[in-house]
Amino acid sequence: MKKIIVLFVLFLIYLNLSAEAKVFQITIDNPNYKPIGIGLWGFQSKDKSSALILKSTIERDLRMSGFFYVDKTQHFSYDAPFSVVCGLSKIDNLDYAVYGNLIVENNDSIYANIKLVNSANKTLMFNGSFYSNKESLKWLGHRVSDKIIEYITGVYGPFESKIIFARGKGKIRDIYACDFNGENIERLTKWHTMNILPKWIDKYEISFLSYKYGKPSLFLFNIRTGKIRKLFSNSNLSISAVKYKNNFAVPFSKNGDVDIYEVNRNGRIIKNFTHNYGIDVSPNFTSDYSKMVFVSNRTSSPQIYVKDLSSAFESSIRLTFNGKYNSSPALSPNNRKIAYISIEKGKTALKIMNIDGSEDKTVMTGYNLDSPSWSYDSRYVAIEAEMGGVRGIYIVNTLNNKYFLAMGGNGMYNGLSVSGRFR
Amino acid sequence: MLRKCALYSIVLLLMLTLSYGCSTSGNSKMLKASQTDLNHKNSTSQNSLKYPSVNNLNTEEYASKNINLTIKSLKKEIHFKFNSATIENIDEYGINEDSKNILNNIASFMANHPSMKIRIEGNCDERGTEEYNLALGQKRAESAKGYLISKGITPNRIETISYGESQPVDFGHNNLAWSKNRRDYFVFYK
Repeated sequence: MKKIIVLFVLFLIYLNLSAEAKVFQITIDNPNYKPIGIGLWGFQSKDKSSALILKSTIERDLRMSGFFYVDKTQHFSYDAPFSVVCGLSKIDNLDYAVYGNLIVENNDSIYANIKLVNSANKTLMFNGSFYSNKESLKWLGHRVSDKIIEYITGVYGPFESKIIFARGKGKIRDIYACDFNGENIERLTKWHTMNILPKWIDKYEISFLSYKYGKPSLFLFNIRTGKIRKLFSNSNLSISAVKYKNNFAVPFSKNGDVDIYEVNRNGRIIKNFTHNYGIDVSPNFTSDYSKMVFVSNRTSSPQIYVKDLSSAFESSIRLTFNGKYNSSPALSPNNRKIAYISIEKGKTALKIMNIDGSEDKTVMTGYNLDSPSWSYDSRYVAIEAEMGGVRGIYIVNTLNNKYFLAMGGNGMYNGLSVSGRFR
Repeated sequence: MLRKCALYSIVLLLMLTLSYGCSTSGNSKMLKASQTDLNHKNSTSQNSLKYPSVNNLNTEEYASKNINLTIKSLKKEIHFKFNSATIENIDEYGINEDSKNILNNIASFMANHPSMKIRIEGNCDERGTEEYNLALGQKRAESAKGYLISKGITPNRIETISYGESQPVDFGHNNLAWSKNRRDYFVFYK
């Protein structure tokens, strides 16, 4: 009898432990997690308009990060003691508060002192200074936002980067650049033709496809000097150019097949990456150039493959098996994740999987999802999409699947690419 | 004797000339019409042979009008199934066409007008991705080019280009719109 009672008690303890294990499976990527409350109470300054610009930039960035609920109700004096600030933010059920002051000298030089307060344990998490000029005030705002995101989430924020994208109507598309949050839009090409699929090559160089001379050709554009040069036009169709070591990987059509080739800066073909009947496009490389992720229809439908470039033999491994259409892969800068587009019942979905094809999950579903591109922190994806009837560029937080419109309207979008961090 | 012979022959020649003159004045309209026909025949043949002609201007207008009428009567696009570049009969989502028949008519027209060239523009619907669709559009254009070559049209008269998904004719998000946008569009030029 005693043995039965002991066994019963042990069974109850086991049940209790397994129940506790389930409780502790809640993580930050749970879509139902509670957003972090942060009070953005503005910056004391004689230059009210500059203070407002800084505040609105940080607010936009923090909202788009997908982590925060932003409270803007300013109801304290900037000179109030630290304990009062903590108390007020706690009363408002906020986890953190940001405030500070801004000094503008000679109507140009900007000095900002920013304080980040943790209201729960009443600590000053960050008290730092930022310098810039008035022209770069919004960029200063991005730096402040990224710093706040780093202190609260543990990883530096993604907003000190640029998105290049193609946009237009009819047969005219041009290349534009904007900040990661969709502001500061600048037009880079004015050729009155179709210019699409821009890609960052280096810090100041981009590639894009243009129909300027009739058949599609690839161009390189130095955004600092404004210099444009033709890279490759030795085909009826060359599609895109991404960096491969000191050269480029270019998918183009040759004898009816589209394969991926290595092409040097003078447009000379060095070698084949793929040699397959059909279509091979969208090359992506790991940062050490040992692996190439690409799309191929070698099994009739487009699927994502990874090729080991260190092997002398054909070593392409298929990564996607769910669905008949998986394309447009983007490898994260930390080489761990692949974002890609999948078609399901007429709708397109943004999916993410590990580089070995495991842990495949859907992050976003809508119309016309295309050209996913990772931010430098490997947590966000910028993507073209039409959500709720609004076509534009969206920023997706891949940890909690929250997405925000960075920029919308004004015609069709044909490719985008996110830069590395501009320091 | 020789002088008499020469005199008779001159008189005979004059009489013949006069009689011919009287007969033409009565049927002038008919002659003009027949001359015009002759000009047309000459000019048409000269045009097709590309020789310079005094009637060159009229010839080109006449010929180009005829070509334009023929081009207008041709169907200028064929459609494809989703994610396919195969030329096949389509009967789905409101599109019902015999693609091979359309291409046969185009091949026949090209054969009859050796000066004409064709540009095949491959297009896709919005659902695929930009880069893959550019490649698929090229494949679709190449498929039609291959078909026309198999019908005897020389490759140097056929140009291909892909616009991927960037040139939709219907901006809808439904099967009819998508099926309209999955197409090869044919542009004829000299």
